[in-house]
Amino acid sequence: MLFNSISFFIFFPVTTILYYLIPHTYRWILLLVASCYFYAYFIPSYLLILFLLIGVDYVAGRLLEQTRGKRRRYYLWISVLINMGILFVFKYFNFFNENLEQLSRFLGLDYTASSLQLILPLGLSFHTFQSLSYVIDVYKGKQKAEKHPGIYALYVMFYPQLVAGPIERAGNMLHQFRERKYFDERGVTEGLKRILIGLFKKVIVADRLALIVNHVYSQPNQFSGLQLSIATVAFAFQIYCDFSGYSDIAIGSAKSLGITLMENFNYPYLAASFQDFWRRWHISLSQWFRDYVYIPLGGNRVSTIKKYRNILIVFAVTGLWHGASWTFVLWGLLHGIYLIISDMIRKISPRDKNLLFMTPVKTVITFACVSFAWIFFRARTTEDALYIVTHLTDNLLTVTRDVITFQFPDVSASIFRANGGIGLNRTQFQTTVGLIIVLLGVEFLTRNKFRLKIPLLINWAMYVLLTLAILNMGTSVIQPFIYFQF
Amino acid sequence: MYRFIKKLVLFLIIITIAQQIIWSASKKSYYTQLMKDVNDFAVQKTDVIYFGDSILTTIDEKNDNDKTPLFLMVKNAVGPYSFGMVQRNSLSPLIFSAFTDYMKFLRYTPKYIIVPVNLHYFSAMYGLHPQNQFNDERIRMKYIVSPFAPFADFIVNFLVSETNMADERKYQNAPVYDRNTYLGTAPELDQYARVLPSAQQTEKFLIYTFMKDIDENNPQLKSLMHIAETYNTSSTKVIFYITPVDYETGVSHLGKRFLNQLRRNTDFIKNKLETYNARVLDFSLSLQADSFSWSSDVAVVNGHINEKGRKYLSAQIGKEIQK
Repeated sequence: MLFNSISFFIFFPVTTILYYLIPHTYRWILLLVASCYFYAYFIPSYLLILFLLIGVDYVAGRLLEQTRGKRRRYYLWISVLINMGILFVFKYFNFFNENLEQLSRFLGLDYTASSLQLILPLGLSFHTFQSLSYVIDVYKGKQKAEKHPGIYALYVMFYPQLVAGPIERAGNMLHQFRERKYFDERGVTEGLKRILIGLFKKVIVADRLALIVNHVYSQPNQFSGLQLSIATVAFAFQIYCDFSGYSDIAIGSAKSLGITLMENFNYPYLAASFQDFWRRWHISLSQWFRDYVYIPLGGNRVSTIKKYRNILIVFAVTGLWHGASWTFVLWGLLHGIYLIISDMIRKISPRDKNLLFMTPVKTVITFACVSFAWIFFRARTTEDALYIVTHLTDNLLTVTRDVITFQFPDVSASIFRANGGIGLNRTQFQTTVGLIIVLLGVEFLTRNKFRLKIPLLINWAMYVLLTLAILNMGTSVIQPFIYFQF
Repeated sequence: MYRFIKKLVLFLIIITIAQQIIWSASKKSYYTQLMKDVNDFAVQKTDVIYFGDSILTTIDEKNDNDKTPLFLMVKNAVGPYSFGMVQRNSLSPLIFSAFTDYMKFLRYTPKYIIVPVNLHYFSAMYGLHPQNQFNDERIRMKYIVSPFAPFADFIVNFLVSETNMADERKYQNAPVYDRNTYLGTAPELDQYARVLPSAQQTEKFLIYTFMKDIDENNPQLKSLMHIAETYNTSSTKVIFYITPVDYETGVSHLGKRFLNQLRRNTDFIKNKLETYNARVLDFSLSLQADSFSWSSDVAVVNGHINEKGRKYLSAQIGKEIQK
């Protein structure tokens, strides 16, 4: 089931109303059944894979807690291998196979890859990692094993975060399913507001930007450097609005049930460094990799060379987590290189104390580098990515001259008329930019409402306008949530 | 909780009133171009409406002397009647049927409606390919005529997303069989319509397009039957015509089997439509190979006809209307 669907608009209120009507003892059953229905709406048969993983990890958790000695490691590895094995088969087998075929051809060997025609179960990457975090935490003694199979199943399958995160930790979630939740007007209202903001981000902003991105990135060699640059920046905002919009809806839906999910985004494009970016972007994933890959590899507490090796490993795997393609790996490695370079710079140059102007400069540079990396994330092939990268600055001098000499009609023509345009005309583009500014304003107001004391009327007007925008300004070409493919 | 419910109800009332105002002020923007065209036809009480796809407008053949497209030839052939076309590439009975419901809502009863029945409609390309379902337009027409009209845009956007996703999934995995032999998936075979196919690929494409038994559960056939039923007792006369098929090419690849299957399917369609007293012209075997046009980048047997074919077809349709 999609969040931006009529089905969800029926499913959500029905589930929430029933949740508060039925006794607390049975609420976990309602949520579990609702989550099964939510997931089975896509392909019912993939519920079986989910149940298998839940069964394996539940049993592994119980055994890990009851066992001592070397055997504990075997149970951990069995769970890890089954989880990663299923992920590998559905997501990476064909990629691995194709590369093996190319390698064999290069070595003059005879190997023909036969591919598996399997559809990736929705959310597999997310709930696999969520399950693994539980098993690993139980193994390390950080988390007590959950005895109730239903509550454990709900931890994995909780519908708001089942398909695209946030990737939660057992320590944050399990106890919440046990706690008696009373109807909290403020919590439910905040939840509904969060859902509205998420829908606005996704349906109004992200899907509009997708019209530019899909148009230009489908055939990048047809477009100028300026158009490629605009499409790249558009994608930076598209993926932010798409994914953070989804997270907002997930967090809002959970909040309406009295469940608090972790924040997954914190104004990532305001980051003034790459470390800061990864503390703000897809927070649940970066924390997962930090806790379960980077730190076990030694983290920062090793030699500099090993630390940089660890960074590259973590980010290569982060890229691979996103998709079975070298473009994703390149994207991840690029971020790894960014972090290494910024670490080197920090060691070489003195701290910029009290240089206030440096923060905006660093923010712009960070945003530019992150946007550059998005090229690899979004491009269909490595060849496309390299084409875009090497043609971004085509005609840069001409454009700069036109801007400096206020030849804005020429700049406008080179964006909206050259090569058939970028997928949106000038008015539509201006509207989209305006909507991004509105969105940033709404986000700022909602996150600072306690400090700013927004008048009630303004608050109501904001949400009425957001709702009317969702009702009237959606595009008829709805894009799937980007992170559904992971 | 009661305070929350009161606030929520108040919020919803404000939204409904505001949305009603917005709908009243900007109704026209909710209509697609084809819907606006039909609105105009209804106002002008246009006599003849011709539904169709690319065959009505495309001139593929470079050797044609007369490059008049089919729809203009038909327009000239129908005599004094005013003429309107509801056409776009890849339109099919699914959308024709939605338009007849829309025309009924407008209380618009043209004298004649011409509906082509292209046997391609019954393949997975039209039956399953998401782009050929026209979910946006169909859902829009359904809700614009309902009490939910002020929310039609929202309903369309949110309903289309999951409908398209479901359609995409069905299409990507749709297997194609020749009796018990697996030929590939629908997307694989649809590629042969985009590139110049080999003899083997042409054969597979012919099987994919023409050789499946059409049954009464086929959505395209159900749409055609819905059109026939809608106008069964109306003053509007619906003329269905089964479009010409390049049967000579079909037979050269698949033998008599091709003809037998073609006849089986066309007879089935005719029987079903004639139960509603619909008039069905069968041109499936009327034209020989030299009446069809070829483009270098489309597959054989796409149904596009050249000058000779267009002249024949338009004359027959014109004769039927003038009867």
